[in-house]
Amino acid sequence: MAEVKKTSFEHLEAIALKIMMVDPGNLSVIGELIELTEEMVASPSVREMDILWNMSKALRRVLEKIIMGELVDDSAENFELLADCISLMQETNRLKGKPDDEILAKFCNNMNTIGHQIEKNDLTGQDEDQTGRESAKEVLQPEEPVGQGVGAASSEEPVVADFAQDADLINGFIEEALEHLEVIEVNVLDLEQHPDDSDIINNIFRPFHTIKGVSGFLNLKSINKLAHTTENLLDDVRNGVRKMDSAVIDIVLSAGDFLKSMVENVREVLNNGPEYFKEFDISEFVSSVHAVQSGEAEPSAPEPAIEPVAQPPVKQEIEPAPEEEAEASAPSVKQEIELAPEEEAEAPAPPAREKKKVPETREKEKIFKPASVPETTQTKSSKMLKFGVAGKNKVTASIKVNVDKLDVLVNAVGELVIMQSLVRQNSLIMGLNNPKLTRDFGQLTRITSELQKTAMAMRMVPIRQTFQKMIRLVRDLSKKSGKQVDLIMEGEETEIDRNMVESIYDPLVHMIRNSVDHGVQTPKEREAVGKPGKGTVWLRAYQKGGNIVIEIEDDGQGLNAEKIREKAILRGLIQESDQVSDYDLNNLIFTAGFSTVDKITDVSGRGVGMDVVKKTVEKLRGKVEIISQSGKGSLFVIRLPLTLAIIDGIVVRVGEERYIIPTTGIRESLRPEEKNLNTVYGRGETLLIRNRLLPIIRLYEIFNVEPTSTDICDAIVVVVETEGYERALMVDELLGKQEVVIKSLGGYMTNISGVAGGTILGDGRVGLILDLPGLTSAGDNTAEFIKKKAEEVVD
Amino acid sequence: MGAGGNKRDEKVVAMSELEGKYLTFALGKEEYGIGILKVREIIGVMEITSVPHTPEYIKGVINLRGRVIPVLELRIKFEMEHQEYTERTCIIVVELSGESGAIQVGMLVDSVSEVLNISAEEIEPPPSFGTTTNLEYILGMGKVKGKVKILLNVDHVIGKGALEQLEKL
Repeated sequence: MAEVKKTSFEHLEAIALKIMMVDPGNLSVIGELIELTEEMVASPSVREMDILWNMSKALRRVLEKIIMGELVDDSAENFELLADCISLMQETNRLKGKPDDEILAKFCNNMNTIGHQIEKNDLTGQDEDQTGRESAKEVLQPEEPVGQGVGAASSEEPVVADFAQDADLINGFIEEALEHLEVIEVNVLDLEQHPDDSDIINNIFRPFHTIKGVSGFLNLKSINKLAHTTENLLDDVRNGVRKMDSAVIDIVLSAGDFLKSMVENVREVLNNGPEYFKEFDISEFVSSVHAVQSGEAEPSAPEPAIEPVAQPPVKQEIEPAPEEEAEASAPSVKQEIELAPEEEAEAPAPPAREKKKVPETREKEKIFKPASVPETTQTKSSKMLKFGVAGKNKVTASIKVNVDKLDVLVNAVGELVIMQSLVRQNSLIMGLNNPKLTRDFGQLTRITSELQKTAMAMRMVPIRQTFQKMIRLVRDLSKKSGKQVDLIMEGEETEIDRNMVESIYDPLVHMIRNSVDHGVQTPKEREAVGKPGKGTVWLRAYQKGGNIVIEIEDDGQGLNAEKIREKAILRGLIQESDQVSDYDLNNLIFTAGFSTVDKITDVSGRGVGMDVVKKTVEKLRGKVEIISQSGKGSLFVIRLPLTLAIIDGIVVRVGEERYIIPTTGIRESLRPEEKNLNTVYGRGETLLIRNRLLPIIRLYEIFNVEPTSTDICDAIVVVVETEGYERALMVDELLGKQEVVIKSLGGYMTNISGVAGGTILGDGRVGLILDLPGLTSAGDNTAEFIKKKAEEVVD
Repeated sequence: MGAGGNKRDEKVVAMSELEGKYLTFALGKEEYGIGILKVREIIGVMEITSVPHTPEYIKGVINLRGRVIPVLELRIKFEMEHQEYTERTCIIVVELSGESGAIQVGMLVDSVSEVLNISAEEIEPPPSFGTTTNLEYILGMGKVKGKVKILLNVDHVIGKGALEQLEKL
C-alpha cells in the first residue's frame, strides 16, 4: 500500500501529470484521474491540510461531473482551467496548506467557470459545520440528474437508448455489471454471516455505486434508478441509520437479480435490435425499498418488501422504434470507461443522510485497472475478480486480454519450445561439443520452459467465481428444505483452465445439490444421531501432481452401501456371490441409469443423474469418485487435468509411424506369450491376461502401415480401456511418455476413425493421437471432445 | 442439360472477373494456375505423416511451423501416376474458407513455375468434353504466350467438394 505513504506533493505531481494527458472525451484517462484524486483525498498527509483537502474534494467532484456528463461543456478550455486549479493546489501545498486569498479566489473562479459552484468559505471552512455545508450543497447536485432520469423512466413513455451508438461502451458495461452483480451476491451472502462487518457492506455498496454511475452515463434509466435506490438503502446501513437485517439482505439480493435480468435484456437488445427491449417495471420495487427505508429503522416489514420483486421481469412492453437520445450527456465517445470504485468510508461526523462520502484515513483496497481492451465479450472468465472477497485485502493488478491473442501466444510459445529442441538436436550442433554452447543451451531451455509455463498459466483462472456461485445455491437449497447448512470453501484461489470453468459448473451444482438435499439431514434428525443441528458442506480445490482436485464433502448420512448392493444385484450389475468393497459399491452410483430407474429414495436418493456428472468429468478427461461412510458423510473427489490443451500420452511406434496413446486410457503394457494367444475363428484374436480375454487390435492392420514384425510375440501390446471395454493394442515399440499439445489435423480431416488429432513431436514431425473409443468402436465422446479441443486450439 | 447450359452462360459472363495474377505450376505435361490470393506460401517437400482411413490422394499431415495441416498430392487427385519426389517437387500451401474459418491445405505439385498476370481476353471458358466430365474445378483456360494454363478453382479441387467426397468415404 505504497499509495498511502505518498506525500501530498507526490499526489499533486501525479495528478498534474495525468491532466496533461487528458483530451476532452477521453473518459478512461479521466477515470484514472478520478482515481488519483480519490487517493489524494484519502491520503492522511493531505487530510492534515484542510484547505488542500477541500480543494481536492472539489476537484474530485468536478471530475465526477465530467465523467457523468453533467458538465455539458467538457472542452479543452475546461481542462486547462482544471490544470490551472491543480497548479494552484501545488502552490497551496508549497505554502504548507495556507494559501493567500488570491490563490483561493482564483481557484474558486476557475471552478465556477467550469461549472462547479464553489465559494472561498467552502475551502477555508475548518469546523465540521462548514464541511457539512459544503457537502450538503454537493449532495443536491448528484441527486438531480438521477431524479430527472427517474421521472423520465417512470412517468414518460419508455425510451430505448440508442444502443448501437455506444455498442462498445455498453458491451463493456454489461460485462462489468454482471461481474459486479456477482460480487454483490457473494458479499451479501457473506454479510448474512457477519452482519456487522462494515467492509462487506462497503463491498456491496461500491459495485452498486459503479453500476449506478455507468448506467446513468449510458442513459440506462431503469437500471440507474434501481441501483440508485438500492444504493441509498445501503448508504443508510453504512451510516448506521438502519441495521443490516434480513429484510435489507433480501432486498439487495432481489435487486441484484432484478438488475441482472435488466442487464441481460440490454445485452439482448444490443445483439438483436431494439424490438427486444423490455420495459421493466421497477416502481413497485422502488417503492418497497422506500417503504423499508422510510419505515421504522427496526426491521419489521420484510414481507411487503420482497413480494413485488418475486417475479422480476413482469411487464413487457415492446417499443419498436428506438428514439434517438437527444440528451447532450449521451456522448459519442467510443472508449470504454471504468468508473473508479468510489472510496468507501463511513462518514465520521456529518449528517447521516448525506450522500457525499467523507473519507477517513483507512487503507483502501485498490485495484488498478488500465484502460480496457474494447473487445471484452469473450474474456469474461479470464478476468481476475475485481474485488477481493470481503475481508481479504488483495492487491492485484489485472489486465483484460483478448482470448484469441492469448491462444496465439500459447501456440507461438509451444512452437518456440519445439524449435529450440530441434536446433539443439541438430547433429552439427551436437557435434560441436562446446561447453559454453551447452551452458547457453541450458539457459535457453530454462527461459523457454519458464515462458511456456507462464503462457499456460495465463489461460488459468481462479476457481473462485465458480465456487462463489455455490454459496447462493446452498443458501437457497437449505432455506427451501428447512435445513441448516454451512458451506465452507477452501482453496478458491486454485486455478483451472479457462475452458474448463463452464463445463465444471453443472457437475458441481449437481453434487452440491445432492449433498444438501440428500446428504445433510434435517436439524432434528441430526441431533437425534448426536450431530450438531447445523450441517456442513465443504467445497475444496487444490492442485495435486498434474491434477486439479475438487472435493465436495458433507457430514450428512452418507450412502447406504447395503441398499446399493441390493439394487446392484437387482439390476444385475453384480452377482449375489460377489465380494464387492463398499468403495466399489458406492461408486456404482455413477453407473448410467443406476438410480434413475428406481430411485433409492428412502435411503439417500443419490445417484440421480450421477452418470451425467461422470460423463461430464470424463469429457474433460478427468475422473470422479465417491468415498462414503454410512452415517458419517460422503466425499466426492473430482480429478481434472491442469489444462485441456495438453494431453499426457505414451508415444508408440508402429513400423515407421509414431502414435500417441492418451495415458488416461492405458492400463498396462506387456510382451505377450505364445500360450496366452487364442484365435476365435472368423472373429479375430484374443489374448489372455490375468483371466481376462482381451481382443487384440493390430494397429498396423488398421492403419495400413508396414510393421517391423507381424508376430505378436515380437511386439508389445498395450492394454487400453474405454467405456468399460478393454482391448489389447499391438504396437512395435514403446518410445516413452510425453506431454503433447493437441492440434487439429486441419478442418479437413476431423472425422477419421481411430485418430483424435495430431501433435508435433520433438523432432518436428507430426504424430497422431489415437482415439481409443474410435479404435475399439465403442463410440464415445472423448474423441470428439479432443477433436473439438484441437480445433479450438488451432483456430 | 438445360441447366448446364445456363451455367455455362454464367461462366462466360464471369470470365472478366477471372483476370488477375496466377501462380502457375507443372503437373506432368500440363501447366496449371491458381489465383495468387489463395496461395499462402510455397515450401519444399518435408516429411509427411500419413493418416489412415483417408483417400489415396491425401498424403498425410505436415508440421507447418507448429500448425498441423493436411497435404494432398494433386497428381493422384487428378488420376495421374505417382512420381518420385524430386528437388523441384513443392508443396503449395493454400488457404481456403472452411466451415470453421480459414483452413490451410498443402498441395504437392511437380514444380512451381511463375506468377503470371492473365488478362480477361486471354481467358477462355473451360472446353466442353461432353456431358460426363465434371469440370467444376476448372475456372477457365488461360492462353499465355501460346501456351495453355488450366486455371483451377482451388475450393473445388480440395475445398468443399473434396470434403464432401471425404464424407462419402
